[in-house]
Amino acid sequence: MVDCHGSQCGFCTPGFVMALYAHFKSDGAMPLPDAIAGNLCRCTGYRPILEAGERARGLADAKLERDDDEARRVRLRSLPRDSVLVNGFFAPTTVAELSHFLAEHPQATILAGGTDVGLWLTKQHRDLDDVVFTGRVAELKVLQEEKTHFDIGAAVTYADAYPALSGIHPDIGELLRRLGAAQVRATGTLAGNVANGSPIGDSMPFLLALGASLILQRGAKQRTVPLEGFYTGYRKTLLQPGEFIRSVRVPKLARGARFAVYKVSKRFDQDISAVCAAFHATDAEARFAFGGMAATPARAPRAERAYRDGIEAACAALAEDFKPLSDQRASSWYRLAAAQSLLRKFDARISPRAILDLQP
Amino acid sequence: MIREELPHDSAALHVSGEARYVDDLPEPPGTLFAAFGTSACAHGRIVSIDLDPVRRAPGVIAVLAAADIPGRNNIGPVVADEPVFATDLVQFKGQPLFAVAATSVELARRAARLARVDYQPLEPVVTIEQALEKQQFVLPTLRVERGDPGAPATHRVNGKLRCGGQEHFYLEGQIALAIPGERGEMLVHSSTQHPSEVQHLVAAALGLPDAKVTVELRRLGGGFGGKETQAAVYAIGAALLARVTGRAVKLRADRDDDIIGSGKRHDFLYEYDAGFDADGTIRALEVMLASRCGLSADLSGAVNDRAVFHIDNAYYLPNLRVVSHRCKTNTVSSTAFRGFGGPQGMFAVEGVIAAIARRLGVDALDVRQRNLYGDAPRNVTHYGMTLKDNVLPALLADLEEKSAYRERRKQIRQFNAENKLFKKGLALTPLKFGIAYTATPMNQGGALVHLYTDGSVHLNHGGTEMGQGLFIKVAQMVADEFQIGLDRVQLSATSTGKVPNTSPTAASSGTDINGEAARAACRVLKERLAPFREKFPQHSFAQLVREAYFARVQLSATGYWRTPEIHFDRASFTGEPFYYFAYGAAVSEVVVDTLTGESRLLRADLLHDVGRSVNPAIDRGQVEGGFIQGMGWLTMEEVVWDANGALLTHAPSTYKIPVAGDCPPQFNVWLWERGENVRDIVHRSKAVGEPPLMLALSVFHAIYDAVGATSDTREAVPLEAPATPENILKAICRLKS
Repeated sequence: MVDCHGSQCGFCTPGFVMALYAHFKSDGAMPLPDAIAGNLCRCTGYRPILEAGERARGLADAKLERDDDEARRVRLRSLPRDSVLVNGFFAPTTVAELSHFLAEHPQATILAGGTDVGLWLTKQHRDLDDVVFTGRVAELKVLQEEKTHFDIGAAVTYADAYPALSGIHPDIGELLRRLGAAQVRATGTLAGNVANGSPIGDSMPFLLALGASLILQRGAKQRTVPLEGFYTGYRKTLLQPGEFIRSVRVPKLARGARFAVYKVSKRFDQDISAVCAAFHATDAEARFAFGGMAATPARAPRAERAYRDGIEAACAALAEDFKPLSDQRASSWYRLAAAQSLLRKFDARISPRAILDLQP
Repeated sequence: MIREELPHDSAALHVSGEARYVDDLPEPPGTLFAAFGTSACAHGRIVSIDLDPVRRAPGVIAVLAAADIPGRNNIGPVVADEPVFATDLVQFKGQPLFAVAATSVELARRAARLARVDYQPLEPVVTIEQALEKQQFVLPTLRVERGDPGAPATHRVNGKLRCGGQEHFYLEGQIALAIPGERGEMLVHSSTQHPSEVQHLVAAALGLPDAKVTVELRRLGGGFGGKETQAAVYAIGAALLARVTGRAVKLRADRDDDIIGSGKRHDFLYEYDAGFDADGTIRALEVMLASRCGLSADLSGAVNDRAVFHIDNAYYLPNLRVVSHRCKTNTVSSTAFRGFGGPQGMFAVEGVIAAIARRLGVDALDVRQRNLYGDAPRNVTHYGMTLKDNVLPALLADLEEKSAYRERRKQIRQFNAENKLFKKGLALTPLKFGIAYTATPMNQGGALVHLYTDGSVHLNHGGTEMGQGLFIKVAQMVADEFQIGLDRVQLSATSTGKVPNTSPTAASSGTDINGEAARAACRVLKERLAPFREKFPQHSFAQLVREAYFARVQLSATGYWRTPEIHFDRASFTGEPFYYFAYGAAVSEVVVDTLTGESRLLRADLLHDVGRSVNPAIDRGQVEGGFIQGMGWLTMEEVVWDANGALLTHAPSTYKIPVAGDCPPQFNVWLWERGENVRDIVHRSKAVGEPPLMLALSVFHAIYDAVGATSDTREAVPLEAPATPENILKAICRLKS
């Protein structure tokens, strides 16, 4: 970084250094801009930081002094791994403990990756009575592959779910790349995104288009509900007091199915969508699902039906399905126009990566 | 030493995390933490305000409002029109009403939300259009004329343009740490580009002489103009609370509060009417500029004046009328931002040029080249200044060739003929930027240099280090003067106690005025050492200094620089306000998705004239970084207020600055080899802080070009900045209909 003049004001520099370090300590396979996509620099314009990253590739065996600190490792290993309960914060290790706690504290906040709950505290100064953390529950960290679907445990992070989800379709992998940088993908969870229920959550359109369902648990009782219908209103869900998402069931694509996921935002990386859309078409049916178009992530039933009559009819019907809001991300006009455009791109089989792959 | 590619003075400390910013300084025992309580209403009268719940909140030690200010309740730097704390009238949502000090940051921020305030709402004026309709301005309208603005021409275009504001988004937010001393003295560590002004405003608020207040800082975590006037309110808040509690008080704004509470780049609305010849030569131009200034004048006078100075960008405008409205709105006061109105002035004329090219159906580069300043009489600006250093015709020709512009134009035409969904665009825009503060008295700098008897050098000057590399460049010049190693030069924190009455580190002038001041101090010392050098030709520098000490020679000197020759008469808007000009040009190539309006910068070629650079690595960093920051302003960064005056884009979740992936895959940056400052200043290098930001106009105009390719009309492309997907799609749709 010094040789490449990669720092100016220097305030962001340690973050970049650590992001690059983590990148090369893992497999270093990600393209460099992705590896540092979670870090902002306002001075350099990034070119020298990317150059430093390229040059660091040759220093793969470089070590931090702390890497060899055995005492530190021992201390880390000796951290308690069993269930912890302090000051209203509960970190269970089994589903039984979790469900028992939630039965007794139905108002408790369930904390998974904390990518949103963290802001409730730091920005909104909310008082959370009880917090229960899912990250130590081994049963929730299981990702199970079945013949027709994946069961993705509620504590599985985006990073851990990435191979399975991008295996269903590469567009989902591309969406995950854009919805959060390495830091967010390492902590955020698919189930957390679903449970949080934001109308602009990026996971729901592709899950709805695939026909995903949720395995919910309350006490010892489980039930399976389709994701469609899970949202009953703005940030409202079917979850009963004391009930939690145990896993997300994500169907694989049938042979011959056409599928695509698109995300439109002011910035390509790490931006909240103005519109996110997923399209799934087979000979039998079409499933179109959108984020940013209504108070909840939602399918477009009229457009789905009209698609049989062709793309023009489907685009016209989208205007019947949605009356989107205007906000700082986009106007109602743009959201609808972009949603129609994305449907046209799906119909024309244009990859969401097309613009990113274009060369000068 | 001079012209060497040396790293930033603190590069190693940046990397290791050891560089100290204000928040890293050790806190004196008992330090309190402060927060502002702010207005929830954009425009209204305060009917009642009850601070008891704040006072009773856990951890709260002190709460202060306007009535508790012993001195002046003002932060207006030019016009005293903006209070520290609102009294009966609130003028923007987020305006400070009171400050609270508590035992932790969290407790202070929580307590600040507990005030009970009743407002009698008044109608908020949020947009430029609303202010124009009400003729509501922070300063009287400026009118500048040259020749006959109504001069006849064979062709005319007219239209409206708009460019957005910009949040500075320095990575280190606004912060101050005030430490009370004896007899009312106050030491303030402030992250500011203008320590002297913070000193003066803190002293005025405390009702103390300036000499009782010292403002100090080693470095800022980014400034970009956002900590020129905007740092003062945080320093005053901390100092007022430190005064009443007798304890150190730190005020660090939360990111959202920082964005809501501190000013941004002015957004502008323009109307133009241009007459031109069949070959694109501009005969006459009338432009109305109107900017959103917010509740107070702040620096809006100078910012909008600089827009008027740069309404020509690089072009000779023989007949011109400019009307500049500085609109008063119920939004946070707009302020300095890299370029300081220059970018907004250039935005207008580049929009006019593009419209002319569309009308004539020619490459916009041809129109640009045709209108460039040239030989007499086409070398006199609209403010009567003769250009003596115009290198643009040569520089543009160089870049045209280096970037293979004409060839790529053909390829892009071909691409666009073959592609319906994606359209590519290409643009080359020139840049001419005047160097000097347009407020002539500010063109002065000071330095203080000590020599110690071991031959080491203590260097201090009035400039602030905010990442731009000022400190290393000045240190290089000092080491060069004494012909010693850079490791012998100790850089030191900027302090109003060492160099008084300094100008802000702004207007790209840092190296010019502080570098020359430091050299002047060195020359004084060198003169004092000269007799010893003559006597001891073989002595090392340290030995010489020691000899001088034993001979009782003063080994400390101040240095001073005032920029010569510049003058300006604002009444007639004529003179030579600039010492010289910085020049550059850029070519950008973009692709636009015509269905969604998404765009991407594919390639950028920048050629910038930094004169003969003192440190090419540092200068290149300014060119690249400025360009990407400008690209952000013109593409993805959107400042959005709702109809009630609430800022909707106040966090990294809603306000998007470029990330690494936005850096163009092909990015060529050249410092112009033939560059040389005609002025003998700082080794004939040129100021570089602001100008490169405006190279990003090429990105906007490449998008303009791509959108233009969606239609066969010769209408101007109705594209507004920032060119977000929505604005691009809107332009495509409008062009079609």
